[in-house]
Amino acid sequence: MPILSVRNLFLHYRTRKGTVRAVDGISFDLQKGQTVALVGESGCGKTSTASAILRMLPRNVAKYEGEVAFDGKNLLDLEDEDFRTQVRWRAISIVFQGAMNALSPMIPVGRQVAEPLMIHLDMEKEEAKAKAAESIESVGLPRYILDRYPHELSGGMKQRVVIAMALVMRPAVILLDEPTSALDVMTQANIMNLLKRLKAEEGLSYIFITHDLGLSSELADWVGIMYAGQLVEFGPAEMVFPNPQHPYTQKLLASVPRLRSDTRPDSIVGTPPDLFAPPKACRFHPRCPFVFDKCKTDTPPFFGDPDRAACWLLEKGSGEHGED
Amino acid sequence: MEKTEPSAPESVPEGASEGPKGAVLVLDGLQTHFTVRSRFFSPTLTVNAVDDVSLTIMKGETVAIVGESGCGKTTLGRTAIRLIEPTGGRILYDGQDITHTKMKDLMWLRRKTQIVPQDPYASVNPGFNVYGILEEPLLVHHFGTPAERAEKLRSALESVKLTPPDVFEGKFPHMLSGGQRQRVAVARAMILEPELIIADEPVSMLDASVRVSILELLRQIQEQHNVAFMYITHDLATARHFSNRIGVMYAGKLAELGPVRSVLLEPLHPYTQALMAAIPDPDPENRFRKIAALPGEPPNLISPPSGCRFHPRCPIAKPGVCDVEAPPLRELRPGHLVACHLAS
Repeated sequence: MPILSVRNLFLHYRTRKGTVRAVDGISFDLQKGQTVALVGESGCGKTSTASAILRMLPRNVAKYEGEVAFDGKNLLDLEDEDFRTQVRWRAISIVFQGAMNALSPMIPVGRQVAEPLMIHLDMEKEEAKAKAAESIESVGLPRYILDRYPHELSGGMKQRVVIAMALVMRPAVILLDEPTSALDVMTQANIMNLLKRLKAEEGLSYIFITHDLGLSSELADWVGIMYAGQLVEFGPAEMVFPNPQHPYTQKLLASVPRLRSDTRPDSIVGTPPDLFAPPKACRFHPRCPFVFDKCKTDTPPFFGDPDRAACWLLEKGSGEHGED
Repeated sequence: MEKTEPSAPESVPEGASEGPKGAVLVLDGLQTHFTVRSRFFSPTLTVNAVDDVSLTIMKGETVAIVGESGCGKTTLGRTAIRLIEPTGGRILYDGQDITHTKMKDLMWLRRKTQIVPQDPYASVNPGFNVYGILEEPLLVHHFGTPAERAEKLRSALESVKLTPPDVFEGKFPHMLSGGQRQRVAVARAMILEPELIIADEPVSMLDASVRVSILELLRQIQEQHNVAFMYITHDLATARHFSNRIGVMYAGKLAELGPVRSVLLEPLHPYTQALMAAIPDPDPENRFRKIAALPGEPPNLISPPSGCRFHPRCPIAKPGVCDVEAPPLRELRPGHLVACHLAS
């Protein structure tokens, strides 16, 4: 049984220009101890998916519905207060994008790591601080960091502190929203090693949100490719990386400059659609090299055995593609 | 790409020509030190941002300068065309020593060298429309009549594929996407037909699918106009596909310099090796490995480590050698130089 199951999740925002369909009917499962990577370009709804799962919503929500099943109950049915006390940080926590901005500059980092323990578990200050120290050590930082202020730490150290914060309540699921995008490659590699170790040692389950396909393969057991607020492909890493089924996934993989191969990267024609008025039917059809009539009139469901990609080309009888 | 003959520049002042034939830019032991003060009355400190960097860029060639943030790669690019004053070494542009030339005598250099900056959201003036942005360099350099300028502008927009030009001319930056703005920045750099463009992380703010198209555009421009590029980036993978030679910087110094294939297929410097190990290609096997990443952080450039600046993080450092003497750049393979005592 999956530890987290997302079904038909919607999150739309109301703006002066109209409704932004940021998350538009997303479904996937996360198994215990595994990682689902959600990959897509900026503006495809990756971060909004995380917001929807953790119910961190802005005021201008126009539509928020669907099902996020955790531990047998639909999290969308919970009252805000119950969600805050039972789910957020205790069951599911998040590592935000940009460690620099995620920490308060005026408070020593130890207190920031200990804070959720004092608020959620009513722990005494000393006990919380001891737990925070454990958490800080588990991310490979020395104990004295607890008394430091964020400006005294490097970017990599701050990112480790933010991860320690996400770990401190021993949640089952951690959302990683571009956890290394502001860091240098070497620091990024060290953080990836840390996340791999924690996954193996603590049996954590991650939802790893990134725009970087190469980086996603450092953690992903399952890969979900997002386009214009929807998942277009979802499958095991062993299948998606070597043999992508959806034309967008193929194009996206072909656009990655490879360090270890002479294959020239190839750009994708056109630009991602805006989410105010996404294209009808298949949202990728205006940029798709294999487009045919049905793509413009009907929304493709997921095809394949097991279901892999939302593309009419994969419908039985339409023949294989993707090998070209 | 190093095959082109040097063309005679009309406006370059007369003088003795030095440096290898066909070189557009020669940096010889270039040094840029900044003085900083942590508080008003505290003693001044020196930041060794660029230290003893020697590099030649040939006409029509792309040299990538890669390194982590704070390694001095941007300072190197800016010092190379005297946007920052060097504190030591020499700069030869097209055989002319421009290290100490007065700024007012460098207007010709400002036309022959251009920059494509990193952030397309900050580098174009939001109060100008595209026409104004592109006309400005032409006005500064007293180019032609209004009609000639308009013609020049149209062809520049066409060459960066912002077509039809008359639609884009009237647009303001806020009406353009990130990729389109970066195309405007490229058009602005191209419009004076420079010989050398310093491209400082030109695609790092852009999305994956747009990134490749901008780099392809730069390559096409290079092939059509025989422009030399210094491509400053932290991304080894794009450097592999879009440059001829690659220089790896660490803590203000060149660690390794050579043809792209030689450097990336058989890196000689342990830093280059570690940098490559840290960059994943999409591969489902990646999740089962531990990345051979370096511990620690790049050093503080106010008091860099003694000897080889990389020795505190180096997996193969030899005490008594690496921490004592700074390694010189040695040519171990044709055109492939490395600054490491232990490389062979």
